[in-house]
Amino acid sequence: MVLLVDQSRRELSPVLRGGAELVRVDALAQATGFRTRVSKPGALALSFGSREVTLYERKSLVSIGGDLRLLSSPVLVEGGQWLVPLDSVPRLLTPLLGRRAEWRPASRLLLVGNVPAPRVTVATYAAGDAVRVVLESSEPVPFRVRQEDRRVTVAIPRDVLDVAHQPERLTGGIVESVQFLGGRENVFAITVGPRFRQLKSAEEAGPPARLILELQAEPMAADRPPVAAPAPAAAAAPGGLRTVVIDPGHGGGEVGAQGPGGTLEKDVTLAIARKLRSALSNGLGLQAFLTRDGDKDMALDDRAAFANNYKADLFVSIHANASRSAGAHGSEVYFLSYQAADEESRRVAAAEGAYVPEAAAAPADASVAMILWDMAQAEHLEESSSLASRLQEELAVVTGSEGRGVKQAPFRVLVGAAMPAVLVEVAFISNSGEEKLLGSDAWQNKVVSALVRGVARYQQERAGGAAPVAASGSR
Amino acid sequence: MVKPSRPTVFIAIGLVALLAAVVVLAPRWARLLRRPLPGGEGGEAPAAAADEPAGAVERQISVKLFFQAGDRRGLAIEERPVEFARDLSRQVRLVVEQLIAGPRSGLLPTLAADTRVLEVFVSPRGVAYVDLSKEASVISPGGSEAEMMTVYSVVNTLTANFPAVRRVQLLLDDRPSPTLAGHVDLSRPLPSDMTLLAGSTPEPAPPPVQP
Repeated sequence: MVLLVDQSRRELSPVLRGGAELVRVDALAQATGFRTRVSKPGALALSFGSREVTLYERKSLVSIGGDLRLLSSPVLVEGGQWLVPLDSVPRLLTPLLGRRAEWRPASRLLLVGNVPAPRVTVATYAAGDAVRVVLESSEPVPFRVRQEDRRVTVAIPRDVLDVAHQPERLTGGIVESVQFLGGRENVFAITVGPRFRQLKSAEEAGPPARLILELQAEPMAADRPPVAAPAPAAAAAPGGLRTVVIDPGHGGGEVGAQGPGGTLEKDVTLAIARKLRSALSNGLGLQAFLTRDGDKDMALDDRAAFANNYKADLFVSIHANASRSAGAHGSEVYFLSYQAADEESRRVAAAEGAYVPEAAAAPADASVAMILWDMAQAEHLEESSSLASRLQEELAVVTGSEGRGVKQAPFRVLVGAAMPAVLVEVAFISNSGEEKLLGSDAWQNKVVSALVRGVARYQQERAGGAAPVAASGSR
Repeated sequence: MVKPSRPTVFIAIGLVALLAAVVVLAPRWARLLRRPLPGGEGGEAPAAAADEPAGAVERQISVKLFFQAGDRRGLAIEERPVEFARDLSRQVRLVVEQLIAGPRSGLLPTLAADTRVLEVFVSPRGVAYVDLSKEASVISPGGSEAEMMTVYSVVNTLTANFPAVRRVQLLLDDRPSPTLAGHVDLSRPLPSDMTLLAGSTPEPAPPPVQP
């Protein structure tokens, strides 16, 4: 990785300990000019002018100007060398130096002070007989386009470039892949397919500066307008609902709760989620995807990220509940608690997180990215609440838990979802009666029908129609 | 009249200068002395707070501990005397240790009995960082409700008993953890949630099983 302090560039070699990347404090001190001294055994004071930060061996907490802050993993001392977690370096350096410090994981750049590092993003749009590749830079940069035999390359000759790009594969035969090759010239390579015929390019000075490449297939009919914007996907259903991402809770080594009869939560959630997927697409004509379609581990944040990547309109996480109290029973539907998304909470998180940028700044520093991630669900709470209500009203009929309303909790899986998102606790697997129901195919079908009715009512409500009342009577 | 000798003059000048220095600098020293040190009196955070002086008569305070209600959904309170500690971080630790020790009246425990409190720090902004050993992540029988009860038995107990504690962040094995066991977000300090207090009516019997 590279440490950039103003204009000067320095290579740092992080070490990996227990899954965390750590960098040497003395290397940071040399590059930025702060001093270090062992203030007492197991404590290292970093000072810069009158500012001081104290690190403690094997602790994640550090002392900054009399307050405590949390790093992502503990500080280590090896062979007399103090090591700090790389992603938390901005939390130390920003208050210590009184200057902006930032860690950009995608480009592995640690920036301190005023470093001009244009941020380059790449977007690809496929539409009919053309593929558009748009490179966007936060500052003016030279784009050098070259057409070669089987590919088109774009070089951006700048020393420091912050590139956020995941290699992409496309179907359709015009463009096969878009990759960032890097190197001193920061080369992007677009590999073309057999249908590719001609390249057109245009530049916009910006800001942001853009290079627009249009890779066309066979020449288009004369009367056809050129490709303008990414074509919208299939016409939206009433209520604007197209895509639902269903998240079967737990999975793999993480089995979730276990019933007294041995039923595992991860199996029940997957079975119900699969049924819900087909019921939503067959019954309501929605696209439905599962975050995991198999018995595998998946991190909580990846589940919400999956829904964000699919631009889902709804996110429904399926769980089975468990309680230490054997009598606990019934279904519950949760949405994120306001306290996890409220202003005060954000303010505390920001205060504890050292550096808060102005709103316009790019979410590059890990702590900033965290704050933005944390706000993803905040603007959807009202819709999440009404989705939760519709689902719970329908479920209650099946599970006999009328009156047990919708609940709120700071569930991690909902935090990063940028769409209405709920967590359904279908029933208590810890209750032996409900454990049997959860394992029963017929009862799972009843639950799925109830959830589909709930989604349908929510959809009608969004479309502006009056929502029909919950199905009543026993089913 | 005897003229003062040169050394006497120097000593006098020195004394005057010293006096002036004391007068000028005293406010600064006072400020330095008053500056709060993280982690409480005398100790420097996050070093463990010193034990209370031995031999002192044990003072006790009465504390409301939040455990899981047995017959109802939610948390219920058990009051219990707990050893008094002058240092807030140490007092918080003593209270969390009582939660781990478990209820004495018919309530249900919320933390595994072999959980250890590794460290406790209370920041001047009112965030209590409670670092628990990994046994705290063993939530039996799993499930979001059991996990909610575990997290909020600590959060509610600390915020209800200590006005200086406004939010609580749980750490696992001395590092931030996304959750204890897959549900409740621990990535930042949590305020109390008193809606989790159990109602006064016992849990109704489950409906008849009809698959």
